[in-house]
Amino acid sequence: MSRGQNTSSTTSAANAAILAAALVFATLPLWADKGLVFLAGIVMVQIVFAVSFNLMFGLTGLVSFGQAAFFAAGAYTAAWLGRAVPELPFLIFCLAGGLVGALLALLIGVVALRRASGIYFAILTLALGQLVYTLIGKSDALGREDGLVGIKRPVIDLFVGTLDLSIGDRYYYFLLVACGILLGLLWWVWHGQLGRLLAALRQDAERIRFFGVNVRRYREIAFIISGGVTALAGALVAPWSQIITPAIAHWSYSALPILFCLLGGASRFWGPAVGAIVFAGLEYATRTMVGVSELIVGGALLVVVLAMPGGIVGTLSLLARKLTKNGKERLNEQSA
Amino acid sequence: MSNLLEVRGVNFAYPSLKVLTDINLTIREGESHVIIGPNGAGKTTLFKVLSGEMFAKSGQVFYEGQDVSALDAWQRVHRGIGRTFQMARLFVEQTVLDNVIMALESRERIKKTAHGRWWRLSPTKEIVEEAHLRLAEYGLLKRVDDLAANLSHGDKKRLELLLTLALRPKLIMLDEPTAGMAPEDRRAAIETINRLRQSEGLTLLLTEHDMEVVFGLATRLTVLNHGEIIASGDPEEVRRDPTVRSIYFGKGAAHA
Repeated sequence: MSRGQNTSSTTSAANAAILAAALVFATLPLWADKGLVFLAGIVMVQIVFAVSFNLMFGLTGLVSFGQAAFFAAGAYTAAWLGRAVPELPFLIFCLAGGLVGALLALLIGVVALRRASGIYFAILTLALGQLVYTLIGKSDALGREDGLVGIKRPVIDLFVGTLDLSIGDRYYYFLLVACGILLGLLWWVWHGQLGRLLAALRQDAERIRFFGVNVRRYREIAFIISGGVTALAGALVAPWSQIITPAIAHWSYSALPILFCLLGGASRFWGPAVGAIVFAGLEYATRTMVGVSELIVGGALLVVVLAMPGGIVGTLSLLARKLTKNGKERLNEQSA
Repeated sequence: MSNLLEVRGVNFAYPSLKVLTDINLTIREGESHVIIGPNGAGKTTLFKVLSGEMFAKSGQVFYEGQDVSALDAWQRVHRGIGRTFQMARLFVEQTVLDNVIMALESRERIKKTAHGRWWRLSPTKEIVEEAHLRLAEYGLLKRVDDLAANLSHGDKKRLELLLTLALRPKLIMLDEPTAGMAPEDRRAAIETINRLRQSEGLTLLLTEHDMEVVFGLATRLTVLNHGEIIASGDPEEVRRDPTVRSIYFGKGAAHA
């Protein structure tokens, strides 16, 4: 009984924090400068990137080092289609980007998931991710090392009229809604029967196998959902940054979601989101300190990873549990 | 009694080690078949070959008359085989209740009912109710909200048995179900397992070290030594078999 009450008070605090963060993102263009709004748009996309990655990492227990390949696949597909067939609606580009990412995940998964244990899977995904990076960098259609530039923000046909997203902050709000929808979908997957199954699979693959679960197939499903949503995030970012280069396919870009997960906490749905925001905040706050910036960001990461194994969110919820427990004990003493 | 599981000429070997040699074995419906043998006799390997965790190098495994030799463990579970492990395997980061819900939802997924749809956000009311009922049956109701990791050794084994039975198997394979239990818990475990067989019509296949448990449970007994079956049949007959006495029971069996 007491456990249920604790969880509900912690949950309502967490809900308030999520609502506050959403409010900050939603009102940002009203009070912040352009640079900050641009950064916030990138952060929203990175949150989707990191949370979709965490579906593999924190939930299913597979460490992939090639997630950037899916991000790039989505971004390049959408941007290239926008150039090749500009008359088609923008949402088709996005969906195509997500589909290409999901297909790529299917292919990479078939190869890499033969060895799902720790380092083999990490190295296989790293190698296949770098292959995608190299292919993009050598492709004339994708602009080789220079990437694709001058990507236009789209005009969306809404049946009742058109919505020109190239004006003012409109694309920012579009990003806000799109990322919100994607996070909603991921939240559903994470907390629903599929997500609970994946969490069980992470804890004991042999036990879940004897519940009649084809472990390989469900790892593959997690990989495809993760890759597909990451690719959708990539497709959304192209018109926002208006330029994409092979750097978004590089392995160092695959390290970003891992950092966000470790920083914020991989065992909670919102952990990577917190990690992405804190990471961006640190970078933003130290942006003028040339040379020292990386040192501070790196140092902060080191402290969190070493001192807070559950990340920021994990540590906070542990604290909250302890506090409510103490409070309850004190109440019990008074009533006794 | 018809044959539920039939093993024909099964061999299994690692590159430098022969583990199972020409195993022929029949498990009849409704029996409680115990496999004994010294450490390293190949009991665990035989279990894994029967459950589908590993595949025999040659020979076949038939279940309900059908060749299941090529089926993976999860597919054999769909046919009605369940198993527990020497060290209970549970979802340790989850509560006892969530462990049971996962088992019940898995059963419903296999049966493809509405309770087992992957997009379902919360477990259905029926599933949660059944989970509570089953936990009450096993005396684990007061532990519903505890993490599985925090259960005692005996409770972990009981919960694992509950989870395996929740899938309603026809054949249940128990790998040393009483290992590490206190004597009085062992007696309770024998009772529970015998009751299961009689009330739910289960067929049991067990490995066991403790002779009190072996003779308390077995309706049929098979002795494995160096990867070969050296005796199989009525427990009392097997006990009197001179080869078995010399190889397995040794001196201690004289007064058993």
